[in-house]
Amino acid sequence: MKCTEAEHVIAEMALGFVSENKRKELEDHLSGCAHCRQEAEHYSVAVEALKAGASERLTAGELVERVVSSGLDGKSGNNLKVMKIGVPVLAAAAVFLAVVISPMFFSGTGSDMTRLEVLEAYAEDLEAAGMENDYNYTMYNAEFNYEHYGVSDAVSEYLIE
Amino acid sequence: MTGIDRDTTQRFHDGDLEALEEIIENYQGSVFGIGLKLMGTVEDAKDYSQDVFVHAYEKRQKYDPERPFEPWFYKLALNLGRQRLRKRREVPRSESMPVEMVEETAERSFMQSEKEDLVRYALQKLKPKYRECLALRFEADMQLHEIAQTLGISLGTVKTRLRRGLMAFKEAYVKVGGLNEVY
Repeated sequence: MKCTEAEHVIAEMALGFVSENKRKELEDHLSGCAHCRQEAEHYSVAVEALKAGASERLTAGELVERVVSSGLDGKSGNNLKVMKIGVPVLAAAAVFLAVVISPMFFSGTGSDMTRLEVLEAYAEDLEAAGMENDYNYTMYNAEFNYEHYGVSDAVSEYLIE
Repeated sequence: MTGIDRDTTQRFHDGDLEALEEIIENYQGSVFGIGLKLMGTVEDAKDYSQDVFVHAYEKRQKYDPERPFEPWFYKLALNLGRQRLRKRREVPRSESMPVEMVEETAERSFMQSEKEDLVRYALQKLKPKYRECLALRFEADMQLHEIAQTLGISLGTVKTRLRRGLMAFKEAYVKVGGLNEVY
């Protein structure tokens, strides 16, 4: 058994799950290796340190008091109520805004492009912006204009912003 | 693992606060120990312990009283520990000993307390997955198959994590001078 393997077996022995064969092999190795004997001692100390409980503990009474005073179900119940009401309301608001604002947003562009085409163009340009981002994103923004896509000045400015 | 009877877990499931108290009395030691090993400070471990029992009570309906209580309970405890560790990553951690730990060390003159601080500090050098396994082994007193069941990993992986965890802990413990307490 080499020292590297011996250390693995020492650790497993300290943890209590080494096989009998390995244990014997390790004992043979340890009898002729002072370095590994010292390692075995270190592992033994390390395991004892891990086993030792903390001197400062939380008493059961103190913990019960803390748990009960935290409000238990009341707190989570309120959170749950907020979630149950809040999520559908937010979803409805999002749909409403999308329906109401979307026609306003795209109206008066003076373009023959469909909404999908405008969005696709927007996505492509964002992608291009990302590729060029490394060297000069500010310059890209300054030069770019959505008028190339038939979008009005106001909307172009809005999109760039 | 220590155990509580079926009647207690059923009452806990039904929302009985006395059953919760029994559970706290039974598991507060191991939960606090796990918290200390995962988080590294007494205050964090206290807050963590409180959270675990509150959370367990809130989630009690998800526990099936027909099944063993401990794997469910410790899984919940570890998930909560992981959440706290993830949150902690938002704040960059210094390589040096945490301030509160240094203060604690300076304030306490008892060798036992210093030794405990070194253990906690050395544990903080380990990856959370190793800390979890060591905590379940040494604080919850779990057998290998119980750790595997709780973490949802194979027995072989448990052995590997425990071994690597112990090796890493030993290295860290030597570096912080843990062995000087002995020699």
